[in-house]
Amino acid sequence: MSPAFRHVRLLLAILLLIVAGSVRVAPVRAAEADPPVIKRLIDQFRAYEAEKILLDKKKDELLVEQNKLADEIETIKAEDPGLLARMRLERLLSRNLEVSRQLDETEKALEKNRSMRRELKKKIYYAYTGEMESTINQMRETKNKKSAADLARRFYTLQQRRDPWRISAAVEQDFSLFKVEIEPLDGPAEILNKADILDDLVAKIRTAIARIDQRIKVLQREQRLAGEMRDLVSEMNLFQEGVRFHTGESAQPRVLDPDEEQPDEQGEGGLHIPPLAGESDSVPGSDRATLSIQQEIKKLTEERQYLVRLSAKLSAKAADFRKKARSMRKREKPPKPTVQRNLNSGNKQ
Amino acid sequence: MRIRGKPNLCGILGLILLLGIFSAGGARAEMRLSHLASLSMEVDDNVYQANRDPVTDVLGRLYYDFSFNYFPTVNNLLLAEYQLGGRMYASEHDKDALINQLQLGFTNYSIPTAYFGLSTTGKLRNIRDGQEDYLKLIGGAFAGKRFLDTVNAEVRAEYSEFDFHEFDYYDYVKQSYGAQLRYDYLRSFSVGAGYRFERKTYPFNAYENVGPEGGNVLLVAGDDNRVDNLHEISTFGRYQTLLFERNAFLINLSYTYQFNESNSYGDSYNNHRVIFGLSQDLVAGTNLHLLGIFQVRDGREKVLIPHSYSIEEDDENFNQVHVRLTHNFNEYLRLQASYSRFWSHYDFQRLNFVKNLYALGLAVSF
Repeated sequence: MSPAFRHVRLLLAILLLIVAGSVRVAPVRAAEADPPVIKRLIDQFRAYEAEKILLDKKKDELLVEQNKLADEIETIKAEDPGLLARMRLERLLSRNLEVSRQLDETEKALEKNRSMRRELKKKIYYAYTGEMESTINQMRETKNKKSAADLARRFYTLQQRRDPWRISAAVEQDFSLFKVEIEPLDGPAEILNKADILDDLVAKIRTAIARIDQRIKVLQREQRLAGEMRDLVSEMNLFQEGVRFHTGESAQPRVLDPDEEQPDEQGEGGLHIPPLAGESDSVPGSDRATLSIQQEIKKLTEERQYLVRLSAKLSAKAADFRKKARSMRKREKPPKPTVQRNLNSGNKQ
Repeated sequence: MRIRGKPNLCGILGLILLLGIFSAGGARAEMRLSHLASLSMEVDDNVYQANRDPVTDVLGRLYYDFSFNYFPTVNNLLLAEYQLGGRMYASEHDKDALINQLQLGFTNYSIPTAYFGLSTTGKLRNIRDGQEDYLKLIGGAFAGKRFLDTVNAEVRAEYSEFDFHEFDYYDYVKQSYGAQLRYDYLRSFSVGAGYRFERKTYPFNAYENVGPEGGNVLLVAGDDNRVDNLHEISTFGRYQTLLFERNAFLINLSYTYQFNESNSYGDSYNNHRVIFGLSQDLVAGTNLHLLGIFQVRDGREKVLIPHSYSIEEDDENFNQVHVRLTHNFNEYLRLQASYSRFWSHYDFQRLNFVKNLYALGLAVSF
């Protein structure tokens, strides 16, 4: 095998390694997609939004026409109309009537559109809520830490997506914290069981937080790596170490004569190595890349904060359940038989 | 040519920036400051970049970078970057250097998916022997637009003045206009291409060859100033990823073709430049960087003219390679060891040189 071929093979192997190493499984992206039901509802909502734009436009046009008609009618009325003018007036009045009727219809359609959009908004909000509850249920059931962490992140994504569909601030936000509530007939054992469920959820959310921390750390390493390269380019450009200007006595151009003694290597023929990346210090595309790493870190930090708040809330609720269970047990326990010791037992009655 | 006593573009840009600062009040202000300072001990095996009998010396190098980003409002960014570079040789003090550079910029993002801005740079280099001092001023404007969140188109115009202290032969005034198209896929992949036109005017007369065709070259100064028109086409790619979801990896590659047309005999050339950058996160906190610049320049006429560096035959090469290993002790402090090599490869052998730099230093960023 020729050495050149060996080099090509080595290069190919390195490239393969890079490609293999950089191929990532992307289940998270797939898991982040909206369920079909929600997607359909959102599509319907968008269709109503488009219809609203058309109706608004139609309404504006009708109003303009109505104003025009009213002006013309007023003018004709004011001028003591003749036969032709009266005929025109009749036509205008009938058109005015028609425009008014169309305006009423448009208003009704707009009202219907408004209520449909409100209804759909509500449906979308509750569909997301249902999806969040189902995610939590899946999280409760799964034994796999990785999928539990992915589900916790999906829960966050759904929560973020649900937010814009909230109709009013009055709508409940936490939807009874995953249906884990104390029922009137629950005894201490049941309540403790529910506290365990909550604690299990907290443990799983903490796993998700740990994974986010790990991801942030990796991104920071990536950011540092790109930053160091940028520093290197910037430093090299500032010093321009390879630059050497001609500073000899003669600044005049010289034609080289083969018989002439060659110029001294230091005095003649200045060298100028241009900056590494043209005039700019930055590596092409690096700003954008740095920006998107920063954005991703910011997004992950927000996600982390939400999950930390959620786990704190669930922990507090679990602690509350345990407290309630303890107090119920205390109430249920029969009073301990108290032995009254007669201090004066030695005394004869 | 001396750049003084007349209003220059940098002054005007500075004024606009100041106006920007004072007019952009209110809303949410955000400020980011960063400092980087590094100090290293180095060995330079060819201080004077000589072809024969190179002089070796030890030097200390200081590099400081201060960056200030200020968002007076969400859509306005003001930035200032100051860089200071210094190097001091143990024996060859003539080559001691002090370099100051200040960059100011303003970018506005008020129009959705678009931006525009101004930038200005001043760089002052002082070498102890005074023979290679210069002042360079650049003022520019740029505007860009993003399409589909993945394609970025940018146009840029620049005006610059170069004032070499020792004599006027290197001085020039430059206008530059360019456009660039770039495609970004998330943060990991960028690819793009650009075109730039540059017009340099020199304060001395262009040379004409009045010798007989095919015979000896006979140069005389003409009536017009020397003017160079440079066309530059470049293409670049960038890939950043995590190897095995663990180790960060970054690769940069760019190729530039330059075509310079000068009215002065001996100053027209073609140049090919390849820049290759590779960074690899080895283990936690330890990174390796490799940066290489390789050039092939063909001068069209067989004449040696100091400014254009055209040497005898149509073959000039200027190359650089930098390898840097860093170890980050924590977020703020890192140790860095570097090796740099600069070399040229002329057909005119006596002008070739090789220079190696070995460095060990500490860098602090905060």
